[in-house]
Amino acid sequence: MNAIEIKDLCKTYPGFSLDHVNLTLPCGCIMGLVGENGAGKSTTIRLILDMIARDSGTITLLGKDNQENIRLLKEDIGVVLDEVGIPACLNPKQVGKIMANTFRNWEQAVYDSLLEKLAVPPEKPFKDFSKGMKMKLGIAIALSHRPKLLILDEATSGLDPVVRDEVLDLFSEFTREESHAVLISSHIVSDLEKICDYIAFLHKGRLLLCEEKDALKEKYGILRCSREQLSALPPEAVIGRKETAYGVEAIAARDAVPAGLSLSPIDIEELFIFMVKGANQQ
Amino acid sequence: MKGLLLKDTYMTVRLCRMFLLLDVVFLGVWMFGNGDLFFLTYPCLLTTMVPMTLISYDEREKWDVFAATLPYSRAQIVSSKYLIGLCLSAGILATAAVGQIFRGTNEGDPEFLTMLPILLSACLLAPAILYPFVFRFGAEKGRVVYYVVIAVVCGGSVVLQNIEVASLLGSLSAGSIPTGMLIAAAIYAASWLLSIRLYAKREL
Repeated sequence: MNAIEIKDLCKTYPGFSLDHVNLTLPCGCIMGLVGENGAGKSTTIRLILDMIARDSGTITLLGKDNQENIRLLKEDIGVVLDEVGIPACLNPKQVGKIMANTFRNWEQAVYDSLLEKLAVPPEKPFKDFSKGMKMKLGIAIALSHRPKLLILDEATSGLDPVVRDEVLDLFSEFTREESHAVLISSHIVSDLEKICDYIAFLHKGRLLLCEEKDALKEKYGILRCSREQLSALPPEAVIGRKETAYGVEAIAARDAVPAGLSLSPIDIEELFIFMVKGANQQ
Repeated sequence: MKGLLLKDTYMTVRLCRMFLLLDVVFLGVWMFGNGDLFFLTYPCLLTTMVPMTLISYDEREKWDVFAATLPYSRAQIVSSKYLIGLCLSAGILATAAVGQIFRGTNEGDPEFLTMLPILLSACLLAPAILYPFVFRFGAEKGRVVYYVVIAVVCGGSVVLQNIEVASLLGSLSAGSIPTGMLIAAAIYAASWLLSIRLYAKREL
């Protein structure tokens, strides 16, 4: 079963439109949603959660249409948004009581152990928390009601590298169960590279690609060559390029590059930057 | 919806302490003073501000967005505010009724007997007019409407102060006060349903 299936999703605002997005996240996997500010990541996430109305398209979550009974579906979804949204005067202990009266499957023991593991003080008011601490509380809430799907919008921002690593481990551990899945958007592409099975690139409301991370790294490489050599390649084989003083750097499909030219391995961050620049040049 | 009500209770106790304290002081002055109805009217109007204050905090702290990710329907989110408003208004009026008994003038006090249902109606009507605007446009824009409503209600209460309530009571037919209360309750219920519809369409 797929955790998320999005077909032909469209949403238009003045000056921005999400344009026929198609995306599938299989259960047991983590998908990283990458894109610069304003690319449409948060809009996509809000559409998935039915917080905003779509213009057209369909969204299926855990096998069910997200508009049919989103309330029940949300019992199985853990969400952390870029702003956690806990009232400033409440403390984690009170938040736990609220959530125990919110989720049918709330597990207080799991919540308490996560607070301890992530060093979140249970009696301290939320207003006195650092950005990182707020995120950690959001993550503890999202993981404490036996969710099957985690949706995380910039959930690792504000965390120091050590805690970020711990949190990423929690997400990886979460998907060990085959029926679980994670959709995570982040600017910190290195985080996504570490844990994601799938990468989806959004740019100006369009999904430039959505593929398995390993397949992407196998399929593409960085080609350093002259302009003439690059122009000899089929245009569809080049997904991003950058002009330098010494020639051209491009992301090219390995199977389209002639034997004489060598390709360097690529990481997801480079791929992201090249693709965005390439798309901007078009 | 228990979680939403619990959260609002925590926030009311924490953030609206001053309102509750003022309610107690004003009711105390009304009970132990000369029974001036202003000291009864004011805490009732103050109480109607509590749900509005909670909505403002929710928006400022992005709880409204977070709540939309939780297993609550939009109808439940709206209903929690209407219920909190109803409970607080009922609480303050029940306290006033108990206070009146302590004052020992509950029998044969036409002013109080007239004012109580009028106050109850005011407690229902002010938020009933305000909330649909708040749930449609947000607390900030809705607040402007609120001030207009409060000004009208306060103006109304000043007018009532200047009217001989006993003569007013005399001029009202026996059924007009319960009818007025029923109309106020019907408007509150209609406002509740309208707010649910409006909030369902709001993009968070």
